Amino acid sequence: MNRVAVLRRPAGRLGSWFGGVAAVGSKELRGRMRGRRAFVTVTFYVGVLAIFVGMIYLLMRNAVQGQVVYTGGTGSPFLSAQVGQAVFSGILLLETLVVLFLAPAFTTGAISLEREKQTLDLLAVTPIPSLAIVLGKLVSALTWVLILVFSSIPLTAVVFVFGGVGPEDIVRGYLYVLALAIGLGALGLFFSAVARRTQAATILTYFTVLALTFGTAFVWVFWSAMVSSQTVSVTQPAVRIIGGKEVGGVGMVGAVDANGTAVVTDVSTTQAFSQPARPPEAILWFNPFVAAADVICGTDTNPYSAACTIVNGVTGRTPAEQVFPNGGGVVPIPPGIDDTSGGGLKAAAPVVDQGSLQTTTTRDGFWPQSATAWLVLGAVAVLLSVQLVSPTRRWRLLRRPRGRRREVAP
Amino acid sequence: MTTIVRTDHLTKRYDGTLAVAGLDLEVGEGEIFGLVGPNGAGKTTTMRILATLLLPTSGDAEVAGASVRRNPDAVRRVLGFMPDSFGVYDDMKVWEYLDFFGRCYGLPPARRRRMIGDLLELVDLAAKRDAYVATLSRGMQQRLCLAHALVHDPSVLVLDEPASGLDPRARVELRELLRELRTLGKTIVISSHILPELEELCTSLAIIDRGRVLAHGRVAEIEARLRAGAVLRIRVLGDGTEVEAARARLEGDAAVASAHAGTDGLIELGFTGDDEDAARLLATTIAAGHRVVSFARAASDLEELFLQVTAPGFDEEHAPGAEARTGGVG
Repeated sequence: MNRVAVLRRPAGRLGSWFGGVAAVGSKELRGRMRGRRAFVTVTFYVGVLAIFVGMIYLLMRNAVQGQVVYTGGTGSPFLSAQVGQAVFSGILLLETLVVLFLAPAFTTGAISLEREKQTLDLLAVTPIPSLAIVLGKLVSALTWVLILVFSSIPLTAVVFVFGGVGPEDIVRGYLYVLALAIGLGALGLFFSAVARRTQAATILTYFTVLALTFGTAFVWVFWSAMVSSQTVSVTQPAVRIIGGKEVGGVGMVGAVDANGTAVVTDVSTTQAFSQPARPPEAILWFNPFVAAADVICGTDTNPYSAACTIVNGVTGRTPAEQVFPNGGGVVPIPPGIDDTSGGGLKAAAPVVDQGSLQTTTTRDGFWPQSATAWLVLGAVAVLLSVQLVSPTRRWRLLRRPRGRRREVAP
Repeated sequence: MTTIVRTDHLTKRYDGTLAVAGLDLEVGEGEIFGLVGPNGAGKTTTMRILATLLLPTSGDAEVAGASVRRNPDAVRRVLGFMPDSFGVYDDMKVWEYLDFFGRCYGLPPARRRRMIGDLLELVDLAAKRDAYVATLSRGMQQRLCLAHALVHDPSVLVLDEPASGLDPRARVELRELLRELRTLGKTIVISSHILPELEELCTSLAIIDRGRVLAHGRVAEIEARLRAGAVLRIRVLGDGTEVEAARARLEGDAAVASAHAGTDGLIELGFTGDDEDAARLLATTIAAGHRVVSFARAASDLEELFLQVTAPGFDEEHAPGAEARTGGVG
């Protein structure tokens, strides 16, 4: 039999692979960016975001002005930082919300639309690998989402005017949003490959997204309520006795009495239970709002702010346990420390204690885990999608096609 | 002639339904090979296996020496496929559409540019180069889809019902195009459930039904082999007695099984002979003084043949497996 020579491209397998991703990705982007639609969308989005930022600014200015009256000499750098932090929190939460709803929306039709329009076969008979088809679709969808996200960077940069948020905080925020977009986009792609119809893929995707975000939050709250009610029933507060007198103060072991002569005794019947049990924080790894709160908390000077309270509640770390690394965020100089006078600190012990307490903040305790979880989910979803897109390689790992083993040749 | 497409006991089973049952086919290089059968005969399944879109349950198929099981990538590089129902990316321009598929096959930019010009010329869409695919007519989209199957200059083209949904003019144009492709040295495997569509286009044919080959070979061979039972139509001039005399005379011939007189001098013969017999019959009829106006086989021999071989019970009598192999063109 005459064997027709099989063409092999000079670039080889890797070349065909990248070529495939580029071919599919650029074709998809071309379709998306065509005409006025993309331009109008970005403009509209940035406009809405600008109005939103303006509103946060006005709200914060009013609130902060009130604060100035009450606290008197808190100092303007501190107030300005609060405005910056509020704007940053607002933008980050909005970005999270946008990615949460848009990233899946751009991929839920990626494969199922090709099936509906009967174009998938045309693609499948070309030599581009299924992985290149899937990645090309994902990259083009993510590019579009990220164009929207990154178009907000100039607005986010407004926070530098106010201070309170360092560049590394903004990098943290965008890194997390990127990981979230990859995970969500891949999830939408997977359901697009599973479902025959785009409608079904969309419903499945959003159901899963809601389950992963709000569903897990509900499970966590329910779980922690169950666990903490058990804990409360067995815990008794520790009692400190100083010089024969009972005083409050649970767990402040090691503090030195002001007099230095009093006998310090801690009496606690159930000390082993003093740390209440929590549900595992992994439940909330797919909840982007907790991760956003973690990033926001990193900028906060107040370890008891709303964002930090959420994160600390989830991770179980109390602010006092945290050692704050110097220089993260903008730490205002606490009133009472006079660092301009020579010879270091004047009143050593109490002031240092006070300072360290004020700067204690949780940082990077949660969002890196969450970002990793989304990336892992994304990778798994992509691999499964490849199996579903490939016309002849379905579930090869799990099930060999019948009659195959007999005929296989190396 | 060398074989370029071969199926070897090709079998495909879908959840208990046997779609293709041990198909043995051979297609020679440079042929236009027609795959004919009623709906559900296994044509599309066979073609999708050839195009590496389905894995056979057992058996194998080879395209240009590459197995669809073991080396699907090699098959994809030498084969152009046009599915029976296909879509187009309608948000692209015509040239972008071909450019995209060129990139999928890893063609360098210079070759893509040349290829797009040549192909649009070939399928007569050069004027639509910058039009959106969505604005093309059905026939134009069909031609564009054919062009897309040609971007990598494949040696084998597999076209599943390419003429379905086309108006008569577009059909003629498509037929011309396929002939032109054959002169370019391409082997074409084409399917249809309408036999006359393929009859004059194809060099060889396989008639399949319920996943099995009923007849396989050159068009002329198949016709000759199944000539038994063919219908000859003769029209003679004259009144009733003249026609009746001609009918009685024809009925006496050894190659004629039956003869019925119709209206207007038409006589239908159940004919069992070959072309020699037919020529002799015509000569003797004219020699006997009958005024013959027309003498022809019934409009579509193959169509009747098709009905005949796809009728229930045919395969038991005719042992199609053996026939198929002897009738092969390898």
